[in-house]
Amino acid sequence: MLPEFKLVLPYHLDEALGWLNGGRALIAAGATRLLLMAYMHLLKPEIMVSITRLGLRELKVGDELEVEANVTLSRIVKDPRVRSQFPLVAVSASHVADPVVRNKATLVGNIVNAVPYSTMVPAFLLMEGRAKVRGPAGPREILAKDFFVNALETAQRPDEIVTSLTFKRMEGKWAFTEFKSNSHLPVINVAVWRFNSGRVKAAYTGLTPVPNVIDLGKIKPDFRNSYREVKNALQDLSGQVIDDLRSSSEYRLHLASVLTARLLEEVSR
Amino acid sequence: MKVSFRVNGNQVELEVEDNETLLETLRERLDITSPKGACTQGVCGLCTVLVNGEPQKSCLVLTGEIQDAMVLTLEGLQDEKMKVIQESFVKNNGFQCGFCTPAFLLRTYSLLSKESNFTREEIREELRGTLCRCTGYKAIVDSVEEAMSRIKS
Repeated sequence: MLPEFKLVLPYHLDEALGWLNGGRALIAAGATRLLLMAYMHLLKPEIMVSITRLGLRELKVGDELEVEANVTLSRIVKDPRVRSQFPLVAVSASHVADPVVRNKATLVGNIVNAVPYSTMVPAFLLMEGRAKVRGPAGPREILAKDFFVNALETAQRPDEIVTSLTFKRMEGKWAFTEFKSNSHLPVINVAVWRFNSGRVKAAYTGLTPVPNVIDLGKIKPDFRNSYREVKNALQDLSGQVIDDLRSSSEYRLHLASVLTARLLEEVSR
Repeated sequence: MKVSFRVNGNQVELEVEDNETLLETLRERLDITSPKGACTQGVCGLCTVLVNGEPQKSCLVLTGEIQDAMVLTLEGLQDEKMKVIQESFVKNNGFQCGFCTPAFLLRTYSLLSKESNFTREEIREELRGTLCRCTGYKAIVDSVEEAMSRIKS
């Protein structure tokens, strides 16, 4: 049984924003994480503001990809334009949960929840994403690199709604992988981007409470070499690496380095 | 709150709790018992129903949110295609205890409504998110494969 809460289903964005006034309400789109947390009594929403009647179902494919708040992950996985023009986004989405949950869970939710193991965040960071936000003071934009403040905490204020996220079209080669142990939830996600100049960037979730991007420069793709170099580059973070029941911090650092070294081989072929 | 939608072709209008899930509404108010509540955390997939043609885990759907939707459960799917799928599951021992069977039948139905050309690997990938603790899945994939080839021909 779910705990008791009031469910409101506004038809207009301003009406939805009105419910957020005071900060005791939670925004629900796909609501898969929210309901799961409510079942476990880890979240006790007083008011659940469903944004499912606000429209926000557009998926715009141009020089950038813009994904509105109610677009499900299934739509991202299946959309031929996203698959061909923004493949890192489509491939990352195909790793979230399972095909049925993806029929409800949204791409925006996977990112704005800011869970430390988010699958979509590495793509959002590498592809110079932006969050389009609406609040009582009007619209504003937040860059992906400024968006994540702490685990489960972002630059989005409690009285604001993220209406869409964007991903920039970029040149170069990309690769993505995740590591799941005994659960649907990944321990670590890694995405790398190799620009045409040869420069490489890597992005991680699951390593530290806030996701990371590191610039690896023009790294040699040789596995042994890149494993060592990545591990050195990640040493700066070592004090912040998550250490919990699912994985020790030492293991997470090792995983991140191995997976990055493998992806570097992949993008250097 | 008041909500109206269609279930298995019948229009229903109900007064439901704000925190009520579609799984609870179907089983407890409408006496539709093919969707099962097992984990009620969105993992096992045994509460799967079709909402507007797409599989959804009904323990993760709030009834208040589905105004005007079209909900289908196994009880409402007795057409020729479902008959073929059921026969394939019987022939290939695609179940043992039967608890997950309604969910697998629905997912197979939904899968084969879109396309009818999947490799075994693709079938396994497409059916992820529904758990069976008896068969080890081989017999289920066999059943889907046979239903697929019968529907094609």
